[in-house]
Amino acid sequence: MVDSVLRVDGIQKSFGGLRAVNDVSFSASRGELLGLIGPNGAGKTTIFNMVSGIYRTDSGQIFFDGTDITNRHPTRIARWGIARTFQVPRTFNNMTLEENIRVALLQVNIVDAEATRQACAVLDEVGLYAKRHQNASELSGGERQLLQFVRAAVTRPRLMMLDEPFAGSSPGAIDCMVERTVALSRSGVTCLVISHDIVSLPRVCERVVVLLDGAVLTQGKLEDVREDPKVIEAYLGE
Amino acid sequence: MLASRWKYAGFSLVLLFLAAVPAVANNNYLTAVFVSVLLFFILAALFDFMLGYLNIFNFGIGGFMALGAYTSALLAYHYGISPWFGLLAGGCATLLLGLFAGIITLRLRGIYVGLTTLFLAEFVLFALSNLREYTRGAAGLQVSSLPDLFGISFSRSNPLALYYVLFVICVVIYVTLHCVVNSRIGLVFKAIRDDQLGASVLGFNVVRYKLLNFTIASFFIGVVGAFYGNYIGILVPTPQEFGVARTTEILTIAYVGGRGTLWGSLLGAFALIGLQEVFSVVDQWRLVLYGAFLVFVLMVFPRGLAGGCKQLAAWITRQVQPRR
Ligand SMILES: Nc1ncnc2c1ncn2[C@@H]1O[C@H](COP(=O)(O)OP(=O)(O)O)[C@@H](O)[C@H]1O
Ligand SMILES: [Mg+2]
Repeated sequence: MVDSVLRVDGIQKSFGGLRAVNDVSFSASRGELLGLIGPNGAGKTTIFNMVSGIYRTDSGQIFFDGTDITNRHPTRIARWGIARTFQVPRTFNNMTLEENIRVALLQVNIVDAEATRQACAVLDEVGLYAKRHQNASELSGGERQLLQFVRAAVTRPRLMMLDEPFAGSSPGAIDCMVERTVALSRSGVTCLVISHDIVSLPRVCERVVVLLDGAVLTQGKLEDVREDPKVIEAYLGE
Repeated sequence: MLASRWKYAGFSLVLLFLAAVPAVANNNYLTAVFVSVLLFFILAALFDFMLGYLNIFNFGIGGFMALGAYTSALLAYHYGISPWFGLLAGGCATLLLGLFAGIITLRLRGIYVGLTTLFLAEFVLFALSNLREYTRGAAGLQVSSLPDLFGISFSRSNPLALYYVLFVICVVIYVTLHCVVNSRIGLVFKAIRDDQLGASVLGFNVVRYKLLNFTIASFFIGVVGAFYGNYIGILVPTPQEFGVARTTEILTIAYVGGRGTLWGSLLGAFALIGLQEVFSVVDQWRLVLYGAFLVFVLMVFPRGLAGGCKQLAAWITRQVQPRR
C-alpha cells in the first residue's frame, strides 16, 4: 500500500456515549473511485468530517500522500489537495454562480479574464452556464450539488470526497455528476463517494467499503460485496 | 458595461451634490447637517464593511471612535503634535486596538465578537474617564483646531472648510472600501460571509481574512474619530457620545441603508439625519424614533433603502427595455 493516496488507520469518533465511528481502516490509491456505503447513521459523513479536519478524531491516524494529516486545520488540509462536497449542498448563496467558481479558482491563482473563461467553461459542462449571473440561492437542490461539485473540482484536488452526490438529484443531474466523477478519476484524482443506497453506485465504483454502526462491515469489489449475506442483512434489516 | 457606466455616472452625481450644495447654500446650519450626514454615512459604511461583508458585529464602534479622537487630541494637548498628523495617529491607535480585539475574538463567532468589542470599548471609555490627570475625564478635553493649511483656516469658525476636510476623508475611505470589496479579497469576504465552513474547506484562512477586514475598518474608524474630536472641539467620554447609544445609531443607519452595499449607508444617513432634524424637538426620543423608522423601512424594503433602489432600477429597466 505504498502508493495509497489516502490511508485511514483505525480512526474513532464518539459523540457523548455514541460511537459514531469505531476503528475504521481503509485506503484508496491514485485515481481510484472508492465507494463508501452503508445505511443512514452508519458514520459515513463523520469519516469525511474527520478526513477534512472539521471533526477531531478521538484516536487513529489519517495519512494523505504519506503525510499524517490527523486533526490538522480544515484550511491546511484543503491546501494539501483534499476537496469535498457536503450532503446538504453548501454553496455561497448570495453570490452568483460565476463568483462561486471564481472564488475557488483563486486557490489555484487563476484570476481576471482567465477566471471568467474557466468559470464559464465548467458551468457549461454541468449545464449551469445560462444561470451564471444568478445567485446560488435561486438553484434547486440538484443544481446546488452540481455547483458545489465543480467548485471543489476547479481547485485541482488530488483527493475528492463526495457526500451523497446523487441524493435528491434529477436523473439528468445524476448522469452529469457520474460522468464528471469518472472523468475526474481518469485524470488521476482519487475519488471517495458516499452513498446510502447500493443501487446508484455500480456505474461509478469498482471497489466499496461497507459501513454499519460505525464499523467496517466488509470491503472489496462491488459484485462480491453485493452478494455478501452480511451486507444483504444490513440492508434488509434497516 | 452599461451598468458600470451608470454606476460611475451615479457616483459622480452624488459626489458633485455633496461637494456643491454646502458651498452654494453657504449656510452654517445646512453645513452642520451635511457634516452629520457624512459622519454617520462613513461610520455606517465602515460598520457595514464589517457586518455586511464578513458578519462581524462591532458593537464597540463608539469606543473605537473615542480612542481615535482622544489619541489625536491628547497628542496635540500634551505634546503639541499637529492635529493633521493626529488624524493618522488616531487611525493607528485604533488599528492597534482593532488588531488586539481581532486576535482575541475573531476565532469566535457572532455574539461573542459583539460582546468582546463592546467590553473593550467600555474599557476604553472607563480608562478615558478615570485617567483624569491625563485626559481631564468628565471635565472635558479641549481639542485644538486643525492648523491653517495653504492659507485656509480650518478653525471651528469656518465650518465649510471643516466640511471639505471630512468630505475628502469620506471619499478616500469610501473608495478604499469599494476597491477592497470588489477585489479578490472582497470575493473571499463574501464567500466567508455566506458560508464560513465552505470557505475554509476551499482552503481560505477565515480568521486571517476577518482580521484584515477588522483592522482596515478600525484604522478608518480612528481617523473619523480624530476628525470628529477636532470638529466638536471638546471631548467628554460619555456613553451618549461614544457608547452603546452611538453604536446603535450607526447600526440603524447601516441597516436602514441596506446591508452589504456600502453606498446604502448614505441613503440611511440622509434619511435618519433628515428625520432627526425635522423632529428635533423630541431629541430625547431619538433612539425610539430610529427604532420605529428601522422597523418601518425593513418591513417595506427587507434589504434596506439600497435594496429598494435596486428594485426600482430593475423595474425601470424592464419598462424601458422592449420585450424580446
Ligand atoms: N455533530 C454530531 N453530534 C452528535 N452526533 C452526531 C454528530 N454527527 C453525527 N452524529 C451521529 O453519528 C452517527 C453517524 O452519523 P453520520 O456520520 O452523519 O452518518 P451517515 O452519514 O452514515 O448517515 C449518527 O448516529 C449521528 O446521529
Ligand atoms: Mg451522511
